[in-house]
Amino acid sequence: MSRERRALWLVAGVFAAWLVAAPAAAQTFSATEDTFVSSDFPGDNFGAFSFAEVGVRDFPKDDVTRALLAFDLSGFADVPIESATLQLFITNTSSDPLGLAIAVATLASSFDENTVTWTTQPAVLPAPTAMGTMNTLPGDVFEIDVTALVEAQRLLHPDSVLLRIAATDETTDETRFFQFRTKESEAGVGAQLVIRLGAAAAPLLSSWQLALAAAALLIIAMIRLVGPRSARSS
Amino acid sequence: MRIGRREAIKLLGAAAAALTGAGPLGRGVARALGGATLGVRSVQPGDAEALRAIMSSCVSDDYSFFGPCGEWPLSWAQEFIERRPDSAVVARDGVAIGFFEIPPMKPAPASQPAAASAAEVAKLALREDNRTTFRVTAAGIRADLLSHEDAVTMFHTVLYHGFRAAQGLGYAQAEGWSPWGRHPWMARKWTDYPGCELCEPVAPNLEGGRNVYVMRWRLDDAIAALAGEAQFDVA
Repeated sequence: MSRERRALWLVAGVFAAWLVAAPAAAQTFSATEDTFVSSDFPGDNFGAFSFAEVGVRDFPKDDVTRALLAFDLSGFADVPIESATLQLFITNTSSDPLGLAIAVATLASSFDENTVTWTTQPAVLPAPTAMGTMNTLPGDVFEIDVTALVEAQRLLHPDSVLLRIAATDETTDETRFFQFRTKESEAGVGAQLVIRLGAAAAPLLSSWQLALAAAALLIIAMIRLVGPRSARSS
Repeated sequence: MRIGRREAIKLLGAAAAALTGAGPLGRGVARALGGATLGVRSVQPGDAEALRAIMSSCVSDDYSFFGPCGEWPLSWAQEFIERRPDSAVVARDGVAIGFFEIPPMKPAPASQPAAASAAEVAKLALREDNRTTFRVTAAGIRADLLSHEDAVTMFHTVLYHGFRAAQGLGYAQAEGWSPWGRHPWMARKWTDYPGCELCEPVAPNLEGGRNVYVMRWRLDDAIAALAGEAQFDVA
């Protein structure tokens, strides 16, 4: 086999391996609704606030806050997913590290962030639930795997994902809460849902896979041009 | 009995109502309260009964914003003293006549690395802003023992010394959640006072109750403004 052919096979092999090993495409969805409700202000709406709060304040004792999120997945209703990760940019915590056990659950019905209150908050479905511990410091991004919730939710509402974040123990005698940025913040970006699409959903070649393919073809062309001349010179 | 933040806000409301007769900024008159000796100190275990009495006197159904007020048990005051030991007290002849909640402060973070990136600097600044800001949920004066004019002056005195005590601990800002931007009795809105600003849009109450106003005081400016208000002499 000529050197030219060996180079061609080598480039093609590397490219094929890279295609197989390439991760599935990820799509980031920003929350279309993000707010919180407070047991201490049961009739008040906080939809215009630049933050949402989750947790419990021990003193006075009976203040519980829960965050409500909605994501619009229209256009991806039939797309299989590999994973879904909820990302929250933390802006405040009652202590560092917080160590707050939280549960993310799916909502049984939609809500309007400009009208929802503690009194009118939607019920949650009993399962599935994503459990985690919030230890992220302000200024960093907290992540939690919500794949099971997104898959379950899409059976009910194919175009949307509706989530509630709450402390797992809302009767605790300790102050533990955190706040995260909402889309009403100066940054203009609140909670995000990063969904890794399944193979069937991912485009056959991404834009930079195509760019790499073009580069490979260019290399091959150069080998064809330069190779024989090099051979002659030797 | 469970006591909620709204009750504490009622208390703040009652205290704020005492500002009705507040004079213009810059008056700065200090005077004695009768022949009594006033002092400022941190809250002590022996203050429980006095704090309970302050809460009971400040918060009545007349000043209720979220329905009838509850009672303030001694256990509440004891818990307050245990959990908020840095809170400031203005005492008359040793007995608390006003108090101002100051929560424990987060410990200072490790020093910033010399070669921190801009993003790292912003992150650390956010954490420092969090650490040096506290939320006031309880404060009050013994309104039933004071004339209206004295209640106004006492409120200024408690607020001034509470802010100063918080500043002494390292706090730079105080946050309060109030059911109004300007109490019907008050001459000015909260935000008309130097150093006080609304830091979130007003949260509307959709059930006919009170809206929520989230305000933040910059302690430097607020202390300077209160120094110009009428106050009692404090030893």
